[in-house]
Amino acid sequence: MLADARALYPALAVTPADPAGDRAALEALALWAQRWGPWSAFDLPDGLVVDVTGVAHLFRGEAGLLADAAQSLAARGFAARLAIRPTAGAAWALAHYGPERAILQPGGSLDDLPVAALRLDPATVLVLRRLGLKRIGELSGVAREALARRFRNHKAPAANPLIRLDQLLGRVPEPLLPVLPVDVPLVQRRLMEPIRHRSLLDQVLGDLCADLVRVLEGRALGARRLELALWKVDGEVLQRRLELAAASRDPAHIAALFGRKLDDLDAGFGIELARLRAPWTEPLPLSQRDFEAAAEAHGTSLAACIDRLSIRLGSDAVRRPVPRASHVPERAQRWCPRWRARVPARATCRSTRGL
Amino acid sequence: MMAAVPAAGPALPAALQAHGGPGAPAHVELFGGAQDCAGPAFALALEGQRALPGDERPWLWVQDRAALRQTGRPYRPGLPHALRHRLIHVAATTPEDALFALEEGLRCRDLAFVVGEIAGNPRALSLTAQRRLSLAAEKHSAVLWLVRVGAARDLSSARQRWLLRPAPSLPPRWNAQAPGTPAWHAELFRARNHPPGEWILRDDGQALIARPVQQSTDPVDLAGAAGDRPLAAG
Repeated sequence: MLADARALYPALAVTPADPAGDRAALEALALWAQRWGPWSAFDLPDGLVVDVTGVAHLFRGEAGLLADAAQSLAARGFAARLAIRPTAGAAWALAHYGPERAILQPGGSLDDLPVAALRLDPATVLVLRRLGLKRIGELSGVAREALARRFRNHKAPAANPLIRLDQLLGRVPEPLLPVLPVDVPLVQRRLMEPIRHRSLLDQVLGDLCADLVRVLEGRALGARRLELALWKVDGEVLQRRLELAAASRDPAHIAALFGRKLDDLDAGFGIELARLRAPWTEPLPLSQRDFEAAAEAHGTSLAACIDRLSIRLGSDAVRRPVPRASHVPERAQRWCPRWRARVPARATCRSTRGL
Repeated sequence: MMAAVPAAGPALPAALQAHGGPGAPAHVELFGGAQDCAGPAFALALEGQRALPGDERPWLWVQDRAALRQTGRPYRPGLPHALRHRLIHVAATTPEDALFALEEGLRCRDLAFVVGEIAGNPRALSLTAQRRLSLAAEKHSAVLWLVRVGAARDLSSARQRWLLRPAPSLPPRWNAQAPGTPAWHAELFRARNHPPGEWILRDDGQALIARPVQQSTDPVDLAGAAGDRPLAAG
């Protein structure tokens, strides 16, 4: 067949098919597409689903998000059709058969789209066409029981237009397998200008580690595995992975470990986005190591001693006598509940009176 | 201040002079009655004399509830001049809390010394607890005066153990009706590196002075009273 084609048109450009390479490229693209949402999923063979729930305001609205996505994808050399809908099925239908950059309008209807927009396999589409059902809206004109009986043996969603119609309208759930789990501690920094130098990258890395440690502290977790992703201007994502022997929450330690892995980094034209994730975490409760160690070696400070005594015995148990102006000896002293170091009590009394 | 002592009168016994120097006993136990408060008064008199002029470190006085009920709270005008503005008082409920407060005080580097007053022989104040206090005091070079109010002499790891009771004061020089300066009858009955002894300690207005107590007029190692035996030799 290739020989026949070349005989007809000798200048035909031929490239071998590379399904594995396509899949890898799609994985990289799915990862890269997470710049518009917290997670993304594959829509094989050539689509991506990105959850943009609640993130559109970061891009000045949904139209701005789509414009940004179209521009970025075009800059990477992809021809893309984009759509935003409440359900993945509806978004797929609009992206494949709808107008360019379709966004959900409040009264919008999908009835005019062909039935192939229901993500059906060709055999089912052929059956529907032979039945005379060419548009999605025509499916609702037929009694649902008749369709259910016609397709009662078709359990796969791609072969049953009723299931696909319900998924399109959001009546039944449609679980998607995201590329990443959502509850991973994640911090990121978008950079005003792409950075190309190592010292700046170390600064960004230190900030990311500090942010991540703050997130981990809030959840009482310690990181076992860390992933640093660096988005380059030319569209590549550099990844560095790190595993720790024990759950750790020490920003300096993490930054130093990553610093050794960044020596062979090729920044290219610059890095515009840095993200640090901790995919594997373990519970690590808060602890006070340094406090006790220093106290064992050099003794505690007076404030720490008073605090410990007050906490265990009650604040009324630790007091000090201060003199009071009275001719009755029993009243010539009173008990001051707090120890104020280096603050004479009379000075405060005078200033209070002066006021 | 210690240098002025020999001119005024007899110096303090060696067991008390060793305080404050290197190798000083860190843990001293003072036994006294519940009615006279001789123990804390003795400790504070010694510490007040030993206080350096520029030393502004606070000190800790820990009392458990039984000791509070028997001996009362500290009264600031009655404390030594050098110490009265630096007192931190801890009123603990149980002997366990008092021991905790004592150990925390010993571990604190900003305290001059620690006075603990515990009444009776509570179960918590075992030999183990005493040894904890001794080790903490020696590790952090702190001084602990452990005052036992109305207690029996049980097992202890204290480096010095004293029995204190009030002694009659000298008649005042100018006013015979006035109360005299305090005096203590101190008996050192257990100590490392020091022979036991008894002293009368007294404040002569400038410093503490100590006089050994005369046990009796007869030397101990000679024969006793004659009785009805013949006095002639042979």
